[in-house]
Amino acid sequence: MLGGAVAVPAGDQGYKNRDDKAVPARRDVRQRNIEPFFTWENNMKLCISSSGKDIGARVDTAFGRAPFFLIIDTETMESEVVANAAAASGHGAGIGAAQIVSDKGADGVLSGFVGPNAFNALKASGIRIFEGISADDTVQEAVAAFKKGDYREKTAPSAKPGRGGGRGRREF
Amino acid sequence: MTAMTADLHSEVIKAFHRKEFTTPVVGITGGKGGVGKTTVAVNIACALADRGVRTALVDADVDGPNGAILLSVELANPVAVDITVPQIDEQRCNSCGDCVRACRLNALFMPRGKQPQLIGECNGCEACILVCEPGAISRGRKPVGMTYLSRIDGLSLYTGALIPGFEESSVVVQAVRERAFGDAAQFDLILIDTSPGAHCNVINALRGADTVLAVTEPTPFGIHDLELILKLLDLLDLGGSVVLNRADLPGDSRKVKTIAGQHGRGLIWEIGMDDLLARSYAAGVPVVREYPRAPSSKVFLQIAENIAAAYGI
Repeated sequence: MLGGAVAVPAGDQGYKNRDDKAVPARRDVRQRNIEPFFTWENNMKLCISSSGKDIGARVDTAFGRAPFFLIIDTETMESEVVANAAAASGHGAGIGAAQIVSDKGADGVLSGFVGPNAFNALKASGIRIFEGISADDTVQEAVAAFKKGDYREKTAPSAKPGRGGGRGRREF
Repeated sequence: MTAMTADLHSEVIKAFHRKEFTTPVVGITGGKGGVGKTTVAVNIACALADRGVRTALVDADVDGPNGAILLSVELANPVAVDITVPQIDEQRCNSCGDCVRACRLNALFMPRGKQPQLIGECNGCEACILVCEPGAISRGRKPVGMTYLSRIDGLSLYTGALIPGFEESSVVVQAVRERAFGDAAQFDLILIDTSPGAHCNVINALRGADTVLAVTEPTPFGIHDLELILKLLDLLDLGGSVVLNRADLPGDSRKVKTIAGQHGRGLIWEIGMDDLLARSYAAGVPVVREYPRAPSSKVFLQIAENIAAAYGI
């Protein structure tokens, strides 16, 4: 199934960040014969952070503050929409969102970025976490790419819990 | 303001001014940082102490307390300030999830098939304890800061210090103010030096104050922030005068006077640029003690005299 001749999207060639470190292009298993980041054995109830209520909507890359979650059965593609009541929380949106997702029985979360508190909460419920969706993708496209193994499974929380996440530690 | 909020406002203000003792409380604030609030507070406190007034100085700038540095005194008599964090008894917890729903900070999380656990930042509101029907949550403690009491030359300095990086600065402000208020019977006067700004830590520090000195300088920044703090003081129904520090800077002193007048503050104390004040500041010694004849010392001594006269102490 891998190795079809699908064109690499223009601009997805990698770039250098402000620390002059090379940031590789997103691995595109559709283009090259490379191993996917993960292979999932079973279908799952996958929760995707979304800006809208149906699978044609664009994804939302922030997990805790996304307005909706779409919980999709990766086998049947049946989806259920859940409003993220935690999105407007002054504090702890990530944990509140994780509670909603956990209560809905999701097996995995796919988002752009999952903060450290949400990570710890989701892990406590045994939910797998995948990061890296692009804001340009629709939910449907994200699920398709997910099934190909395009997204990296996150196994450790980002930086230390709390705000900051490593910002402000550059020397000038 | 509707009738109801007007009623509520007066209740809140009444509670704000309530205190359990008769010792007068004078707040020293000013909006902008670096205008000389602590310098003014320390010098007035020393001037009063030297007159034989039993004076407590409360350093309520818990994010950067430095009254002790200006007085060259060691922090002493530490008392920890801590807040409640929930401790969940596994035997009693029935995993109903009420505590998770009650937590406004979303600090509690209940994993599937398990008992709730504390994952996020708790501010110690105890809502989870209130709603827990089986009584499974007890009060654990989390330290957020310290208060200190240092005594030097007839002056008692109460210092509040937040552990850097913690959010609970307001809890520490309250703790240091209440520690001093608890000892109020020992004093003729309590001076409270607030943090810069016009936010909740300043409001909390000024609770129970009878009058407030608003310190500023004749720069655009000082003038801007003076207006903010005077608006806050009006809202809190707190009168007092203005101290114009560095009054001879080439700024707009008239504007300071206009704004002070608009907020019913007719009296403005002017302190000029004074080499002796700068010198004593750098040495960590109050100018009223090091150079009592310096121009700035004369102003501080006069303010102290007025305060003593106003309260008959």
